[in-house]
Amino acid sequence: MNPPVDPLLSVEDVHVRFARRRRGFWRPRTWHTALSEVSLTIGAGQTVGLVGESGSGKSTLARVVLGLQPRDQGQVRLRGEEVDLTRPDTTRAFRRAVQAVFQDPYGSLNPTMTVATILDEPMRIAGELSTRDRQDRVRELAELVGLTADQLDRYPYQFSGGQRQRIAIARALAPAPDLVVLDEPVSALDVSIQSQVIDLLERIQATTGVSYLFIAHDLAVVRHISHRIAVMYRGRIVEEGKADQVCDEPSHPYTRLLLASALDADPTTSARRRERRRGLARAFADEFGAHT
Amino acid sequence: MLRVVLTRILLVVPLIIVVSTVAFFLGALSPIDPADSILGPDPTQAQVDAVHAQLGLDRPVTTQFFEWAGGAVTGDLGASLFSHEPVTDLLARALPVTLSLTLGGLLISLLLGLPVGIFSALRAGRLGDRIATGAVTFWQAVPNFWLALLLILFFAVNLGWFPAVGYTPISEGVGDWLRGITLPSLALGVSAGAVVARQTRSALIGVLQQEYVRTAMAQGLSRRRVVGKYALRNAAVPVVTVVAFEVAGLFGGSIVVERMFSMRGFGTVAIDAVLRRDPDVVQGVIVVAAAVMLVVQLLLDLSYAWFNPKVRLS
Repeated sequence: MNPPVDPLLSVEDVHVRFARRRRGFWRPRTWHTALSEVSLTIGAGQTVGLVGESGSGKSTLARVVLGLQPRDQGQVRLRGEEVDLTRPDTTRAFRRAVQAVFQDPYGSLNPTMTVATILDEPMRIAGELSTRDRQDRVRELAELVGLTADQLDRYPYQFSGGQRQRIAIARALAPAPDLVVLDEPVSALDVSIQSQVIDLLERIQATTGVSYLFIAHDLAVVRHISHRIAVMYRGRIVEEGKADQVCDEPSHPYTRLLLASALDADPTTSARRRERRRGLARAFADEFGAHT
Repeated sequence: MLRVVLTRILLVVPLIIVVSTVAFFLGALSPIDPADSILGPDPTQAQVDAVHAQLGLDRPVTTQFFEWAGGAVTGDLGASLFSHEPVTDLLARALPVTLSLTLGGLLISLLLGLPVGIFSALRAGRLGDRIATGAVTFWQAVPNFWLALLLILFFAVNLGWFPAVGYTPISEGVGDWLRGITLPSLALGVSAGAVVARQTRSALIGVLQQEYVRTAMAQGLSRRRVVGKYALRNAAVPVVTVVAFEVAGLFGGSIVVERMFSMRGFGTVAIDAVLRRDPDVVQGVIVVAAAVMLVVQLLLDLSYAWFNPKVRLS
């Protein structure tokens, strides 16, 4: 199967909790545990798929990996070194090495900037290239994601959702990162556009060797693109392994339920699967309590 | 862009014609008779008729209007019925007062509103935000004449730092001019600043939740830069909109504060003219006010285009 790879980024025993809104001034604060004992390793050049239902902690984990979410416990390591975001030098290197693409292609691009400025921004922040080199790189990136040179002077609102997502991907690739966190990058796109974007991501990985943390709730897409898959449920990673293994021989009941939830175009298969899903849901409910 | 500006400036002309025409005929419907002010109580009908004939008010309204309009296009806006002073001179004296107060009030409202709004937005829902929002609610509720009284009492009478009354033209010294307009500007700017603070807070909170802000943070842009460069510009449109309304309000609504500081500004001239029915002065005030408002609107539209590229092309 896949050859063993060096760990690029690892998350170790991370806990994150959020304060709930107080119900009264004198009531004690209550906490919602968003992540609990979460550990995950992403190898160089690898894609790790992260699946789970809404509210399972996928996006919180993405924020932890991006260094946007303070942790109550645990560490994030980049190439074995602990990421300390209080030190400016390591912060700068980390911010360059790890980039993000978010779900909403309408909200993720600053509407007041042209595409050229948007693509230039992360490189300007990293401050490693000259203006001329950055201009060349902007053109290179545009070509990579299939934008023409004259589109660079346009504003985000002049593009379709799929084009915008490709701009967001180009922006993420601009500072030559080691890891791109893709938080539901195709969920908001049409199915035909989804496959275009997935193909683009795979092509980029093949040429640049970048790693992906690919977050989605559609297991079929995740299986297609990922080397490994981690399944999250209620703030924990309940199963992690090679993509095919997790999909074909799921060991955790929640994973089985998730797999059984995938829709099928054929009504007879669909009906059979519905029966199976109900059985699994009952078994799951017996083991873990209520699940809706 | 240039064409948009020119078109808008050309549009000002028909608008002013419409506004002044409507204002003239509405004024003619007014029950106030200037002869009452001139003749005092209980005049005879013969005396009233004589005054009307002298002032030209016995002619048909349309004749009066065309006479006024004929003068207006050559820059002669007529004269006051009472002081016989040309309207242009009257306005030329009042306008600097009101413009100073408007700009002063605007500056105070921005200096007060923007930082507080930004502070609140960055701490949305937390203690600092709640305190700031509470303070803003309080400012907004403070009537400007009451604040003016307190300011005069404290800073002018007790401390003697600023003059209590009167306006010094800027030509007689920038320092004195500044000292003169400081207190009235404060009185005007505080509640206007509350509105700016509110609008800035809510607009900025909305923008800070956008994914491009999160992306910029993930790219390593400092919080200060993210707010200054990304968020404020995107939050600016609703803020400049209320600022434009503030300018309109300050320009026309500073009458009370002008009175308190004994400054003969635009609002004072306007209210005197309306109450005594001084038709040429009323007309002059309306034309100038309309022109100022149209300029403010033009600047507002230009700022939209600057802040939002979507507006630029359409």
